[in-house]
Amino acid sequence: MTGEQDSDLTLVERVQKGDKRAFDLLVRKYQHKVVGVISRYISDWSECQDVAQDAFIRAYRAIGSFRGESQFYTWMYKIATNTAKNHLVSAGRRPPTDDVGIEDAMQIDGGMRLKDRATPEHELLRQEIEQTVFDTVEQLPDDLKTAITLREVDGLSYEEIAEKMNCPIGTVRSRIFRARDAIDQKLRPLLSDAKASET
Amino acid sequence: MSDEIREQLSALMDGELARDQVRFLLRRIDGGDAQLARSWGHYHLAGEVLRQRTAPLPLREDFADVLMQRMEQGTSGIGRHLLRWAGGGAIAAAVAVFALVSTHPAVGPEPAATLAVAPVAAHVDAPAPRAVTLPPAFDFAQPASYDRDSGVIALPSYRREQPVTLGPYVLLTVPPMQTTADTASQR
Repeated sequence: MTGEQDSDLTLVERVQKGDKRAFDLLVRKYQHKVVGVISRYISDWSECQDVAQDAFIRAYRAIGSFRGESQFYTWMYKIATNTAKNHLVSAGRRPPTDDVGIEDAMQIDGGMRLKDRATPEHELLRQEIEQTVFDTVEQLPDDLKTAITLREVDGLSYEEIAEKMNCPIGTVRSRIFRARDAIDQKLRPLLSDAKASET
Repeated sequence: MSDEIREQLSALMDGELARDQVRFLLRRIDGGDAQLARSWGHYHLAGEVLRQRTAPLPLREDFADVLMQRMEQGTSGIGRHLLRWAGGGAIAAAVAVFALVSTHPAVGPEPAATLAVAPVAAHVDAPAPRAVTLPPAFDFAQPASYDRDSGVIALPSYRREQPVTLGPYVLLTVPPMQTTADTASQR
């Protein structure tokens, strides 16, 4: 099990014990992916988000039945596609018959279809977010840049990164955090006054 | 918000945080440190951008906050649902009584007094159970059905989309009513 899956399972167990904040973290982690999946069925961006909220609420209500036999996202993906299809049926629209498998869906950029339908403001904000992340990483000291790249892009564990960078695991943990924190600081002003919140 | 807490958040994201520390961290977030949850979202967004080499279309900034509010309402909605259920029952009962009165108009010289003394017997009958599926639209106060010939009013039980037995049906029987004028003519 990868660290990411382990993290999901830990959060799911907390939710099953009644910790709603743990579910909030799962939502914030998967919100873009889930909206991306729903966008394959529903073209309107705002409607996609409403349906995604319904899907998360369904997942929350059913989370007691999640036994960890599959990954949390695989389980969530099924709920999201079913919610989207049900939404179309209840609105008198026909759901598409050509379902995309989760493996394929993971390879496709979730927001790709939506980009074509985005307003100029949303597309501008999307580009700003993208550029901010790349610029910030580019400006990081080499040890931080290497650590975050090995983790996020190559998917290495802290132990593997420590071996590659020849430093203690604690140092790896600190470097990855400092890299993320630098990006977070740059994203905050961008996202706090996001025009996207108005729609 | 200390760096140590945010470093724990970063470690949790990578599955590198001990479980007892997870509980402590979540308590911190639940204690009102909303920025921690937002930072968590930003960490994941950054990871997504680095892996996909592109950013997803931004969602509403309050997407997760609104969702949490909806969940809170949903949880506490059980009590509200029961109240609505009970309220629906009261309305249906009122409708039933009104139907009794209005379909047996008193035509005598003192209808009000006649109705006031007219005995209205009510009893609960328990017919043989059989399973039915109520229509999806069936929710709260449904109109009571009234059989004019038998004088029976049926109030269905308040279940939704569930196979139920007809045990909970309440049957109100209406005894033959005689107005003062009828009584006088018989004499």
